Amino acid sequence: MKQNWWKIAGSLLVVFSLIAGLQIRVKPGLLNTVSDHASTSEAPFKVSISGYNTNFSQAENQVWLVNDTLRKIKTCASKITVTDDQHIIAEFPPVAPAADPVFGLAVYNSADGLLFKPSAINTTDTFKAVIVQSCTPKVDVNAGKQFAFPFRYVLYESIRNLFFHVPMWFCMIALLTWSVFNHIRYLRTFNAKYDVIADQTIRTAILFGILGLITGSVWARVTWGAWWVDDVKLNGAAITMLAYLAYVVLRNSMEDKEKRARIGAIYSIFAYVMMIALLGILPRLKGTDTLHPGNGGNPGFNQYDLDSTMRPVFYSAVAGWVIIGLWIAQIRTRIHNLKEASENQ
Amino acid sequence: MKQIALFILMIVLASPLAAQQSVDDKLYEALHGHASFHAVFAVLFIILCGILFYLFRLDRKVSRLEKDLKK
Repeated sequence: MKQNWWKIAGSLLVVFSLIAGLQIRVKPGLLNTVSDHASTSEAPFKVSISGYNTNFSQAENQVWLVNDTLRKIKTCASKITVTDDQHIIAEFPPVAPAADPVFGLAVYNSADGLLFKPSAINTTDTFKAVIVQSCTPKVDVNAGKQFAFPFRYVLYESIRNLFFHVPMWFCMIALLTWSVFNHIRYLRTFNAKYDVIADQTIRTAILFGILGLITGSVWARVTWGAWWVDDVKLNGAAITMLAYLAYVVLRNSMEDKEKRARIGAIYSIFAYVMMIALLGILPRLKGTDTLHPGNGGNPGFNQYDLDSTMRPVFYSAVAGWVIIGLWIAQIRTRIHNLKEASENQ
Repeated sequence: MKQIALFILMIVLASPLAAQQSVDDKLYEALHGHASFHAVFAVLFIILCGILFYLFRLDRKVSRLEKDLKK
């Protein structure tokens, strides 16, 4: 029991990330905003708003439109009808766009806090003499704070996949780091023990890489609309997987144990460097266009990418999966050693 | 071999359930919030299947080893 504590810790971390990742709610947000008039400046118009996880009927609502980039000129709704917690109809006085023909829409109540949809209503009007209908809604910045995952357009509920898809890659990279470390140890000492550890760890890492590719593909279908998109990180991940599959083929193709171990170790070091370049450096270069967050010259995780409510769940998921990966690698190593021992008898 | 056959059968039996969900988006939304929850379920399903499949393969390796040792 004493030497198994880390396996228990890893399992608990994964279980925690599963429960927390599925149980914690997503913050309220605005799903759809539909106007009954194509033009906004000719006559008063009604906008039907549907919210997600909202509590419209529990507090007094304020609804307003913004059009300028600074969001300073606000046009408040003249009448608000609440249908239920998720639906609200707001009536607006005629208003012409000050800049682009797109209005952003904000809803505020003390239960949900400030909700904002950037391009909520398109108007057929072009810029003309501005009809200014300015108002100043009363907003408490601290209202509606709750422990929940952020509401993001495009992602919605699938934001939870951060705890399941991303740790697969972290686990793969951790396992490959462990294996390259052992391969270097092997090349320094020529002790076959290290070669076995490194080899079995790579084979486990491939499992997590394949899981990362498939889960990523499913997530991309839902959010980006295609199973595979032309993205530096996706292609880099695919090439990495191919390089490591080639490692397995290369290694299995050689009979001589010592030769196999040496060539395998050197190949593994090159493959590792290439993996770091493909997954860690290339997507971050300036001018590269990628759909993954935190790329194109930005640091991996900033405040915007990883909300403080997601951080504890995400980090425990990563730690848990890395431990489980090492555990599987250890079992593989033990099986391999037993096999060797039985063959030598 | 028997175990793998059983496992494949399990997946085949489960897949119509997954297909059903995408048809009834509205009902599903009412029960589970947003339809994008599909992606979360699908991802969890794949991870679970992948790990289980891997375990079966490891299990087979150990069984073969046990057989060899008995001989």
